[in-house]
Amino acid sequence: MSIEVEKLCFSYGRREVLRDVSFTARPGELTLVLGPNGVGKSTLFRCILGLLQDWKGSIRVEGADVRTLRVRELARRVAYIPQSHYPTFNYSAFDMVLMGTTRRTSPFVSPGKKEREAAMEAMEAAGAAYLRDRSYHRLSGGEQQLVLIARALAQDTRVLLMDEPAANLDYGNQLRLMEQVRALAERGYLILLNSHNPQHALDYAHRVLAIRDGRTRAFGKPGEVLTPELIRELYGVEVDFLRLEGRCLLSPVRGGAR
Amino acid sequence: MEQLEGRERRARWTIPILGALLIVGFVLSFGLGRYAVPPAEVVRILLHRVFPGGIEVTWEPNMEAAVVNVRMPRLLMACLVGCALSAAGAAYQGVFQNPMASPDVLGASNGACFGAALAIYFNATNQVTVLSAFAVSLLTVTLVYAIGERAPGKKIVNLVLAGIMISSIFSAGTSFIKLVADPTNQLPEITYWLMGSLSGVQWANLRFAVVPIVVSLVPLILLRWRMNVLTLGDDEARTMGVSARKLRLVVVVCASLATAACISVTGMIGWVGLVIPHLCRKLVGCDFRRLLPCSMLAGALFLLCVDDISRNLLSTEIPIGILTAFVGAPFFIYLIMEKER
Repeated sequence: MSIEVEKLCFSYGRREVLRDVSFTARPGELTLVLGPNGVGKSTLFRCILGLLQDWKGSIRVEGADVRTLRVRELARRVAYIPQSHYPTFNYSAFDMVLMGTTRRTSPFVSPGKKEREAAMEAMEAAGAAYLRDRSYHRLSGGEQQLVLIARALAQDTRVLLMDEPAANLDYGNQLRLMEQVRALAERGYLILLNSHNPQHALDYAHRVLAIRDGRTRAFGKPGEVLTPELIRELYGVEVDFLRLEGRCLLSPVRGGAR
Repeated sequence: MEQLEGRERRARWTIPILGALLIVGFVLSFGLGRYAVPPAEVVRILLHRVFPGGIEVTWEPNMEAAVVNVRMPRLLMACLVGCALSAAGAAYQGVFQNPMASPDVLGASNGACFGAALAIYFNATNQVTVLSAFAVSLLTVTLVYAIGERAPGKKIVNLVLAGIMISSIFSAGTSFIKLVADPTNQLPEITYWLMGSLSGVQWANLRFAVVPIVVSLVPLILLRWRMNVLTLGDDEARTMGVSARKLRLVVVVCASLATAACISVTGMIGWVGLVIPHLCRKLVGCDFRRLLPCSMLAGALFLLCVDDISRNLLSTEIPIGILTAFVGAPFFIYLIMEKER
C-alpha cells in the first residue's frame, strides 16, 4: 500500500530531467517534494500518473507496476489534485466533484444515485458541501481547491497526488489547505505534495523528498533532513533555522540570496 | 443562489419545451408552401398513413402527394440535419475544449464540397455526387487526424492547424474545378450545391443519410458524461480514468460521420453546429448530459424554421445555407455580446 519509486530516469528529448530518483512513500504519511523550479517535480508526478511513458526505472503503486496498469486501473489507485484552474467550460461545483466518480462506472453510463451520494459524501469530507450549487468559474482559488480535493476523494483512492496546491492561494488559505492535507494523511491517505515552501515541510510533512539535478538529494523526516546546507544547495539562498518550543522557523538571512 | 435556482428550473423545463415546440413546428411546417394545406388536414393525412381506414378521406389526392411525397422527406431531413449538425458541433467543441470549434474544423465541409464538385465535373448522377461528397469528406477528416496525431506537441492545436491546412487545399481544389467546369450547366450546379439546399430531398436521400447519422449519434449520446470529463483536458481526464485519446477518436469519428452524411446530401449548411450549441449552453449550461439533447432538439427546430423561411419568403426558393448564415451570424454576435448571466 505504498508508492515505491526506484532509479527513475526521464528525458524530454535530449534534455535529461530525472536522472536517479528513488523513494518510498507510505500510507498515513504526507510526503512533501521540494526542489527548485524546473528540477522535475512535476515530471515525477506525471510519470507516476501515467501521463508520461518513456521513463526508465521502476514505479510501483500498491505493489503494481504503473506500466502494466490500464488507465482506469491506475485511476482506481491514484487520484490527482491539480492547481486551481479555469476550465474552458463551466460546471457546478457538484458536477465537478461528480466527475471524480467516473472511473467507477462503465464508459457508456452517466453517474447514478450511488455516484451522486459518493460525490456528496466527498464534498462533506472535504468541507466543500456548502459550495454544492455554486458555479465552478465563480469560486475563489481556495474554494476551487476544496472542490478539487473533494473530487479526488470521490475518486475513492488511497493515494493522492497534489501538484503545488498552495500556489494560487492566499496566506490563510494556504495554511487551511495544509492543515486539511495533514488531516487527510492522518486518516490513512498516502499524500505526495509538490511544494515551494520548506516551512510547510517543517510544519506539516511526515517526510520530505528533496530533488536536486534530477536525483534524490535527501529523503527522510523533515526535522532530520532539512538543514541550512540543504536549503542553500536547493535554492541558493541563506536561511537561519530558529528553534523555539520544539518548533523550527525558517528565517531568510538578509543579503544572503545569491 | 436565487439566480442559480432560477437557472436550474429553466434548465429542467427547456428540453420538454423544445420537444413540444418541435412537434408543433413539424406539423405546422407541412401546411406551409406554395400549395397550402390546412393543419387539420395535415394531421388527418398523417393519421391516415398510420391507421389506414380509420380516417375518412376528405382531401384531394394532390394534398396527400404534397404532404407525403414532397414535404415529409424534406421536413424530416431538415430536422435530422439540424439535429446531427448541432450534436456534432457540441461534440467537437467539447473534445477540442474550444467553444469556437464547429463541424468544419477538421475539414469535413471543404472535403465534401470538393468531392461533390469533382463528381459534378465528371457529370455524375445525383447519387454518385452524394457518395463522392461523403467519401471525400471522411477522407479529409482521416487525413487531418492522421497528421494532427503524429505531429509533436499539443495534440489539439495540431489537429486544428492540420484541419485549416487540409481544408484550404481542398477549397483550392474546389475553386480549380469551378474554373475548368463547363460554365453553362456544371458551374451553376456546383455553385448551387455549395450554397446548400434541402429542395428536392427525396425519400431515397433520407434513407441514405439516416443510417450513418443514427449510428453516429447513439454513441455520442451514450458518451455524453465522459465528454464532460474530457473538457477538463487530456491529463486530468486520464487521471480520472478516461483515456482522452481513445475517447476523442471515438467522438471525432462519430461527429465527422454525422456531419459528412448531412453535408453530402444537403450541401454546405454552415453555422448551425456553431450557433445552436452556444445558444443551448446559455439555456441549460455546459453539462453534456443536458447540452447534447438540448442541442439536438434546438438544432432540429432551428433548421425546420429556417427551411420554412427558405421555402416561403420569396417566390423562388432561397438556398438554406445562405439563410443559416444570414440568421446565424448576427445571432452569434448577439450571443457573444450578451454578458454572461
